[in-house]
Amino acid sequence: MKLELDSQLSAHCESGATTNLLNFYKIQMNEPLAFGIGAGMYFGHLPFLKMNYMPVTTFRALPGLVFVRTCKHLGIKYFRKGFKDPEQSMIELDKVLETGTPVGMQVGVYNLPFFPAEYRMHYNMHNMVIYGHEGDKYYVADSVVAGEHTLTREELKRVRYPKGAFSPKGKMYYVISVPETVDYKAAVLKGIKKVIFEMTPPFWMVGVRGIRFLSRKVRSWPKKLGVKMASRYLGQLILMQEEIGTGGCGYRFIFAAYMSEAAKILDDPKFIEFAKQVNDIASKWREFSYQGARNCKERSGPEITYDALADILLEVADKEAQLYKDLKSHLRTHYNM
Amino acid sequence: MTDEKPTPQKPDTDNMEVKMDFEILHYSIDKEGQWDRKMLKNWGAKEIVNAQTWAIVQERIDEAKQKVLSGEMSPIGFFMVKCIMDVKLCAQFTGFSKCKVKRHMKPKGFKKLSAEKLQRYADTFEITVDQLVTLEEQLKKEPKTVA
Repeated sequence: MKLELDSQLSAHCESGATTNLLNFYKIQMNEPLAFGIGAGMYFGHLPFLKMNYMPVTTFRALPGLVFVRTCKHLGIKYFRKGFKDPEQSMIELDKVLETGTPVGMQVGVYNLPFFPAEYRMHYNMHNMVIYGHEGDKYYVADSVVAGEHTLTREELKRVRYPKGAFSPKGKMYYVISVPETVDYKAAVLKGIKKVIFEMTPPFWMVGVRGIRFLSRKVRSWPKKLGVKMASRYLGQLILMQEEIGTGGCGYRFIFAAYMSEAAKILDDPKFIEFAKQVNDIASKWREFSYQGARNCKERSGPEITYDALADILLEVADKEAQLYKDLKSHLRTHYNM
Repeated sequence: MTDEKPTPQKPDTDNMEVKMDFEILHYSIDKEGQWDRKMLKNWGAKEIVNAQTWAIVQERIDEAKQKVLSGEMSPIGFFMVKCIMDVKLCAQFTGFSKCKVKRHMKPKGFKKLSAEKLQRYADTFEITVDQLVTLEEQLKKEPKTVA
């Protein structure tokens, strides 16, 4: 049995999976919209979490949250659960597929056969949609890697139960029922409000304060770690920003597209300005990654000083802080939120 | 099972070539504030950073090889690096505790391993027990092609 799922490609795997799932239920959705309503924008520098021996910097919300929030904000009933026993999870998956429901799931990338080899790290926050199975063969719609893919039951079980940080433990999610009419306006505003809340928290490792925290850290790297390790830490940071989760510039470009989409839905030209503002921020992030990458080649000394990089980060933090301030006051004055 | 060849389950970290043909959607905003998206092969600092990541892995593998040959480390340490794991991850995959994995990483601890425990490690690294036990001889014979 194979469901008719119109699989669209996307930049961010989870908002792509959400888009594909909701499009199946005839809810008009595109990737920036799913990403924004699900409040996928985030920042956190978490030195206590190590990946590949290096501290984790995340530009995305916790895996699964984009889908959950999009459904909550749109008033859609959903199911999301992990399983302790792999066999049980596969039986449950088969049952749900039999009822004609496409199922999204969080998987680890390392054992995923169709994923490009150079990206197959122990990274457990990838999302994809299963839309049918015939015996041993499961049809997979992956929103990042183009083309039709199939996985065997054994392979699927492997990728659903990887180990390491943020192990999915067989998490799967699907839509139970959708309302007849969907209120996009309220959902869009809720999404923006959530992003503002998450990016300006009273905690120093996440949000705008997190960017400043990272800036301080970047400044101290060459003294603390030496030239070689500092260059590696920087490489890991840029890898997170540009590639892992494959958003490009920490998803800021998608958020800019969301602002532009919000202007259409809310019929408010002010959001076009916000879109340009976010685009500006994204360009600044990209400048950081371009400049930083010059230090990532194996050389005796750094080409650009880490102080200069830290200054770019401070500039980004100032710009982002200004953006959330503007957004907040705009929401308060025009929408009473 | 069918007679199809099994697809390789894990990436070959020893001779990884960073290919540049993987395309990703990219968003952009034009002057009127409209968004557009297109597939791009090359973006940002992709090439340099990705190459650096694999160079680090390669360096760790070479280091581990030397250590195995000089008798400082057991084959488990080598294959752990080859599967891009650290001690914590290896402990989670195999089900041993972290300090046990550390003990097994030393030649002395490795010699005491029972057949069952060796099998557990071999399953994790997706190799045969034979490959695990005879790693040192293989490295001496042809240092380039192992597993």
